[in-house]
Amino acid sequence: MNTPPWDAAVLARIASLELRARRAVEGVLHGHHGSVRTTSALEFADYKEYAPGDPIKDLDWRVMGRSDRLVIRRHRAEAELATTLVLDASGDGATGRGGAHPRGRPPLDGTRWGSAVVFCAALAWWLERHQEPVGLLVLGGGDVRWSWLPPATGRAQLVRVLGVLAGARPAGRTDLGAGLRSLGARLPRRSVAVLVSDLAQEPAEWGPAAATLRARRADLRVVHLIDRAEWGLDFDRPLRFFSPEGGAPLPEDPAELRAAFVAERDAFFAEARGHLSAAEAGYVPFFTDTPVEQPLARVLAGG
Amino acid sequence: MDFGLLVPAALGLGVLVAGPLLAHLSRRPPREDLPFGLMPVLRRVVRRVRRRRRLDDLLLLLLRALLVLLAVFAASRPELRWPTPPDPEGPQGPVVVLLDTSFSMDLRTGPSSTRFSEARAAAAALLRALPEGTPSGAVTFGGTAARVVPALQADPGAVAVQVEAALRSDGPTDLAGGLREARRMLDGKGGTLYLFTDEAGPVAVPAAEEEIRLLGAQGAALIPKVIPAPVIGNLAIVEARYGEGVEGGSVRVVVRSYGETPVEVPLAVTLPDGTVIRAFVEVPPDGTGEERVTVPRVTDGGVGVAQIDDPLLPADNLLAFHLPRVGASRVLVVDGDPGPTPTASEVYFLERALAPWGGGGRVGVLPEVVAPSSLEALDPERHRVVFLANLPDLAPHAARLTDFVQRGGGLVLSLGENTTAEATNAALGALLPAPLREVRSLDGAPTALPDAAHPLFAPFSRGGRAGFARVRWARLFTTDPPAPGDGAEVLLRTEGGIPVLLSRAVGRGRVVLLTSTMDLGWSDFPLQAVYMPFVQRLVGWLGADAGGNALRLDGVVGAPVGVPVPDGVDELVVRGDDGPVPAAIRGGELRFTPSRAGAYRVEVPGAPPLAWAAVRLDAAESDVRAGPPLLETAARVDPERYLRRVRFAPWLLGAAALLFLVSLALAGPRTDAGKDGQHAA
Repeated sequence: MNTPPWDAAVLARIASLELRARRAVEGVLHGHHGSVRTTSALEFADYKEYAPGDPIKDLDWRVMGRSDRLVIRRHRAEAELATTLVLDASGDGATGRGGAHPRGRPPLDGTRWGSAVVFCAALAWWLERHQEPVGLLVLGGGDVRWSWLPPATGRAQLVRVLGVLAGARPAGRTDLGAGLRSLGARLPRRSVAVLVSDLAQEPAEWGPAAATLRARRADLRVVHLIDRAEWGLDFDRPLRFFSPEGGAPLPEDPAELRAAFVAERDAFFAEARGHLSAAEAGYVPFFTDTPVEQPLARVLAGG
Repeated sequence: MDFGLLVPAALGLGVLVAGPLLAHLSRRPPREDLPFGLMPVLRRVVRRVRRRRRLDDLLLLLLRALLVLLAVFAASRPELRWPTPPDPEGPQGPVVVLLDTSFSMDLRTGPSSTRFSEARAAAAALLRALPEGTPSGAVTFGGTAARVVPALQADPGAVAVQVEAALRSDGPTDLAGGLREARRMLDGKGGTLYLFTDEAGPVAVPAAEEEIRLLGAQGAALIPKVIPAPVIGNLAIVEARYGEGVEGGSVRVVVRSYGETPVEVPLAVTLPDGTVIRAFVEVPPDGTGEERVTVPRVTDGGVGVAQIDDPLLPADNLLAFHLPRVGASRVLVVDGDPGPTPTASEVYFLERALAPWGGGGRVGVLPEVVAPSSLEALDPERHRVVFLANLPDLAPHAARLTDFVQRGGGLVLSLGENTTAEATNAALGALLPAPLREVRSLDGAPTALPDAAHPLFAPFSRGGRAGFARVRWARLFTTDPPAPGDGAEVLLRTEGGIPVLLSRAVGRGRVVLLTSTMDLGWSDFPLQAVYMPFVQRLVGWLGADAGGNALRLDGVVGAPVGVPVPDGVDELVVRGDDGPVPAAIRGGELRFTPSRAGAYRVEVPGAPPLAWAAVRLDAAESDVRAGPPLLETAARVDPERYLRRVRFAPWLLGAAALLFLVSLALAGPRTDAGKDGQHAA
C-alpha cells in the first residue's frame, strides 16, 4: 500500500497555515508597503501587474495613461532576485511556551515552532503574491517532505512550500554552520536568504559560515525566534533543564541564576550579532508571543 | 592563663553539628524536566558559577556547622582564667614586706648585685613610698622566718631602714614561716603583703599553701614581687660519703647540675689531715655526675670537705662528710703466754694474721706485741685496738683499759689456761659483755653460722661465712647470759648454743670477748682459712667503724644540731670553720644552729673531739631555677581572691547570631550581580 502524499492533518494544517499567512500579509499591507527587494538596477526587463506593496516610484505612468492599467517596471536584476527561506527545524524548536510535543507538531499558535512556520508561510505567500521566486531549505527536523525547494514562482511552488512547512516538525540536532555553508552552494548569486532560527548554537560555530554567504553577494536576513520565558529565565521553581538536541540536563534553581543568565545571554547574542554584522546580515528579533506581522514587516523592510 | 568549662557536659551537644552536615548531604536535585532552547547560554552560566557555587555551598556548610559548634560551646559556659594580684592598684590598710633571705637569693644578677640586694633595695623603696602613718612591718624568711621589726609601725621609713640592714642567710626558704609571721603581725587586720622573692626551687611555694589560705581568710592580699635573674646553670655537691671498707676506701662525690649544658668541673676533696685530692667530675645537663676519690691507706678520722669550682652560689660548692680513721690501725697485742718458742706463743697465729707479710705498710694493721708488763704503753691516742691474750691478772690494768675503751678504743679479750673467771670478773666486770663462769671441755663442738647482717660479719656475706662452721672448739669459758639493755650481744656460738664471741659497747668504745684461746690450745680456729680475714675484719670494725671515733652527726644550715652530753661534762665548745659557734646545753643535750655549711667540732676544751657535725646546705636551695609561681599557687588555693575570670559565652552567642545572619544571606537567592555589570559592559 502506497503512503498517501498528504495526510489529513497536514492538509488541515496547510489550510490553517495559509490562512494565518494571508492574515499576516494583509496586516503588513495595511500598515506597510515595503518589498523584499532592496536594490534597483537600470536595465529594463519587463512589466508586471501592480500589487499592493510594490513601490509607487516603479509605476509606469505612461502605460497607466494609455491603458488605464497599473503596471510596474521591472529591471533585469530584480527579475532574477530570489528569496530562500531557511528554517531551523532542530529539536530546540520544540522548546519554549507550549512547545513540548516530542512526537507531534507544536501548535501554530503561541509556540516557537508555530511562529517560525507561520512566519515562513507568510513570507512565502507574500513573495508568491508579488510573483517573486521563493525557495525553502529546512535544516534538520522530522517529517520533512523536501528539505530543499529551489526558488521558483507560482502557486504550485507556494503550495509545495506550505506543504513542507505544515508537515515538518522540530527534531534532532542541527549544525547551523554546515546548513549555511550548504545554502551558500545552492543559492543563486544576488539572492535573498531569510534564516528563521533560535540561534541557540555557539556563535563561533556558525558565524563564519554567515560571512561566506556575503561573499556570494547573498542578502542574509536573520529572524531570531525568542521565547520570552526562556529569554528572561522566568521560571518560578527549580527545574531540570535539558535540550531536546541532547546533552546532560542541568538541575538548577532559576532564581539563583537569573541575573547571571541574563548577562551571559546578552553576551552570547552580542557575539552572534557581531558575526551577523560582519556578514552585513540583517537581524530581526521575533518574540514568539508577538504577532508575525511585526517581524515580517521588518524583514520586508530589509531587516 | 588557663581555660575551663563550667558545664563541660554541654559539649555532648556537639553531636548536633551532624545536623547541617546531614542536611547538606541529603539535598535532592529538582526532578521536573523542562526542554530549554537556550541551553548553550545556560551551560555557559553554570560552567562559570559552578566552582563559586561549590565554594559557597562549602562555606555555607562550614558556617552552619560553626554556628552549631559556637552555640554548643557557649552552652558549656567557657571561661578564661588567669592569676592576678587581688589589688594591683595600691595598698589598702597595713603593709607587710616579706624579704626572701634564703641562700638561693645569693645568685648574681649583675656585676655588683644579687637577687638579694635587688630585693632588699626594692622592698625598702616600696616602704619609703608608702604614705606616712601607714602601719608597716617586715619579715625575712631565709633559714628561719623572723620579724625585722617586732610589730607594725606607723613609720614606714623606719621599717625601711631595718630592712636595708637585713642580711642574707645560707638557710632554706621558709616561705610558710614568713607568711605565718606576717599574718600574726597583721593580727587579723587584713592589709597587703608584698613578697620579694625569687620563687626558686620546687618546694618552698607548695609548702606555703596553707598559710596563703589563712591569709585569704584574714582578708589580707598577697602581691608577689619576683626578682628576675638570667637563666643559669648552678652546680652543687649533693652528696659526699666515705665508702665501706675494712681499711682504706674511697669518697663518693655526687655533683648536681641545674643547667642545660654538660660541664666538667674541678673537684677537690680535703681530708681531715689537710690532704687534698683533686679530680674532675663530668656532669650531664640537669642531672648528676659522680666521682670516687680514693683515700690514702692511712689518714685521720674527722670531717672532710668536698669542693667544686663553680662561680654561681659558692656556698653550695662544698659539702662536709665524715671520714672514719682510715689506714693502718696500731694494734697493741699483749701476750699472756709467750711460751718457750715463738710458735708456742699465745699470739703467734694472731700476729701472723694481723701482719701476714711482716708489716711494713703493705697491710692496714701495725701490730705491736708486748708482754703484760708493757700494757702501760697503751696510748688511747695512738692505739686503736688492744688484744689481751690469756693474761693472768688484769686488775692492775683495769682502770687504764676502762679509760681506753671509754674514749673509743677497741678491746679484744681472749682467755686460756692463765685466766680465771673470778679474777677476770673482778678486774674487768665493768667491761665484760657477760661475767665468766667456768671452763667447759667440749669434744670439738662445731660453730654455728654467724649472722651475716651483723656489721662484723657483713664482709663474709658473699663468701667465707661457711668457714666459721669448720671451726671446732675443744674448751670454752661459759658465761652468764648478757644482761638486757647493757649493750651486750652474742656474735658467735657453738652449734650447741654456747657463746664463743661476745661484744659490748662501752662508752665510745667496744669490748669483744673470745671465750677460748687465740692459739691452737683450745680450738683449731687459727688453722682455719677464715681466721686471718676474721682477725683483720675485727680490727677494722673496732678501729674504724664501730668505735674509736667521735660522734658523727649530720646537719643542715639553719636547723638545730643536738649532741648528747656525757656524764660529768659541763663545758663543751662547738667550733666551726670560722671559729666558735654559740651553743647551749639543755636537758643533757648540747644544741647549736649552724649558719654556714662545713665541719663543726664539739669538744671538751683540751680533749679529743666528742662529736663531728657535717653541716650542709638545704639541697633545694641550690636549684635556683624558677619553681611554681606563687601567684598561681595562690590562685589555686584561693581562687576567689587571686583568679581573674572572663566568661565569653555571650560573645560566642553573638558570633553565632552573626554567623546565622551571614548564612541566611548566603543561603538566599544568588543574583550574581557582580558578573552582570561585567557582561553588560
